[in-house]
Amino acid sequence: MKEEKDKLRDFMQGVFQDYEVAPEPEDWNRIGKTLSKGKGRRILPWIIWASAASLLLLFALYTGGILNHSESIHDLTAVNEHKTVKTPSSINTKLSKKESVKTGSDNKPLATNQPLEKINQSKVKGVVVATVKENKIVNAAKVKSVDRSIQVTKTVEPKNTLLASNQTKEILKDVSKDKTITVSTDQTLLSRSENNNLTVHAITPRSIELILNQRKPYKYDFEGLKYPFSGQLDGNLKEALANNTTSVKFKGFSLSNNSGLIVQSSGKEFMSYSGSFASTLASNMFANSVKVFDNSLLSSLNIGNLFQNNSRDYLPPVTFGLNVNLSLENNLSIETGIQYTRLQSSGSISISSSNTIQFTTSFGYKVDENLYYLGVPFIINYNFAQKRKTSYYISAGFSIEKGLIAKYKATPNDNFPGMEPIYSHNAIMGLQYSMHSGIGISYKFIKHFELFGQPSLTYYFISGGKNTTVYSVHPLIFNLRTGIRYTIK
Amino acid sequence: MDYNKILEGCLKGNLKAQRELYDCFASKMLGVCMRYSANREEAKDILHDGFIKVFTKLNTFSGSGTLEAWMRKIFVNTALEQLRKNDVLRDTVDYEGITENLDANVDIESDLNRDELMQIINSMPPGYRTVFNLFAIEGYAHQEIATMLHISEGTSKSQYARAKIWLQTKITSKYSEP
Repeated sequence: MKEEKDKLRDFMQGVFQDYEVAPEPEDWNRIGKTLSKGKGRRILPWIIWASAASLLLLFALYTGGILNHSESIHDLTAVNEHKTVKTPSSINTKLSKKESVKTGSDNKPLATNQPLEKINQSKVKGVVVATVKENKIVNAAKVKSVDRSIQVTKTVEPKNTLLASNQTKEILKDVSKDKTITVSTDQTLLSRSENNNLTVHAITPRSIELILNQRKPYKYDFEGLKYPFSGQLDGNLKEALANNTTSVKFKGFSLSNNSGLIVQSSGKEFMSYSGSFASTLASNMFANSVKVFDNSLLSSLNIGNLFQNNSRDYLPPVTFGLNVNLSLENNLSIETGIQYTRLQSSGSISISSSNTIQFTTSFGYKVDENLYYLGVPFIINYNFAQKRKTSYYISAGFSIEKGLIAKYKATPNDNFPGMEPIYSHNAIMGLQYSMHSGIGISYKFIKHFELFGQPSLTYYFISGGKNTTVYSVHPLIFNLRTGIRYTIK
Repeated sequence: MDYNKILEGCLKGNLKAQRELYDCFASKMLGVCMRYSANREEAKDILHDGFIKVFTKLNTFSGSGTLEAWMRKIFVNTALEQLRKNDVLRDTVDYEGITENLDANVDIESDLNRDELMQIINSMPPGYRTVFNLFAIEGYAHQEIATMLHISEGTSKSQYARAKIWLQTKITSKYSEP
């Protein structure tokens, strides 16, 4: 019985081992149709989700929800804010009720007949223009941005004329001995004379005492650094100063805490100080190692704005992507994801301060610019060769990118004590559209995941941003696209 | 034939590769489908569903056995699913315990050709046909068949015995035909 069963099985298996029935063409058509439908069903939700995620990302970036940096240049404010004016007591005690002190950028009166001590307490910001009359400040005005390099447009009134017109001072006739007139602020001091009043114009790095003595020799005393003025001792001080041809090589100045100019003066002569006085003074200050860099002055500079129109060297853009790739038929695939681009360039700028004090200070800086973009690519790939885990493909597509931030590092060419690199950043406005085509190679390092590298020729459309970038200078450029790709079969 | 390239294409969803795989195995698999079906239409349905399964589950093929054996298993399972779906295995549950009385000697020395045998198998009631296919042709044991069809082992045996009687009867009637 058992033998019969086994025989039947053997017989049947032998008979039907190679049993085949030829299918009809329509059988495959039906299967092919189902497969295509299935693929369509897979693609549709994937595209919907990918598109929705991309749009959400772009919307968030565009509205500044993720990174929002102010691109505006901050108003150039006082060099040293909220610093208490240290005024020598000698002045304070000598102030009369006739004092008139102005402060603020609009030169509105800060106070009238106000003791200087009161000004101190008000924490005057900014540069002060002061007028001294017989040992008293009769006019002081806050000035914005004497220090602020190229941005120095809001300048001291009467600025150039202050020195250029050789303001004068008539020293009291009855002064037969040294007399001290002291004016001090925490900021740049610009003072002028009106009629018989003393005019002094200078920028000081810190509290400095200038002693003007009718008797020989004139001396400037900078915090104990005795600097003998070697000019003409007799006669007109103005000429003595003006005729001093000391070259101005002042390259750095600072308005630091407790800055101020203390002027001590005596004499009977009618004196006026020209611009060369300030230059000489500054030069002497520099020569006497009173070189204190207050980086707070420069650190708030918007390097990006200064750098925009300067020539520079660009490095090729590099784009790193985390992409999802969906295989289609005939070795085609579509790809999207998120990509991160870094643009690098370097150049130089010169930050100068000029025109308010009759001499120019220039600082040379090497600037490194880094721009960061986040975007979404839409790519179609054609895989034309494959060897084991390595694939070769050609690719074409377009990208929408949003600039995240432009970062700048300005490294000073000079090496003054305390001089440090300046860092600043801007927002990058507008969306950057581009089209790209390239040839790539990918390597599958684990299941579904590939590393890819793809030199591409990319055309960047003009964006709405105002940053000068390699995109705007070279719209058609080779770049390297690289990243990790997740492939859905 | 180098199936690796075809399989690679199929895994990528390449329709051309899928067609190639279909061309390689469609005839054999349709033969399997035919044995479990009463007619060609039913077989074509199983063929369709079976190939869709093959393409969607190809990534689970470990490569330890032959691709044909793996595919055959899928088609058999698909056929069984189809039978269950159509509730045609319902009559396989009431015959436990009557195996002894149903033994039949099948004249396997008969000169029936394969197509004639196929006709007889197709004409069997679904329950007989399924168990007969699984036991006599696929080579499964009754215990395995019981598990596959969610029936008892005894039922499988009785179904097979009845299938043999059916086969014997049909063969006898064939020979008795003038």
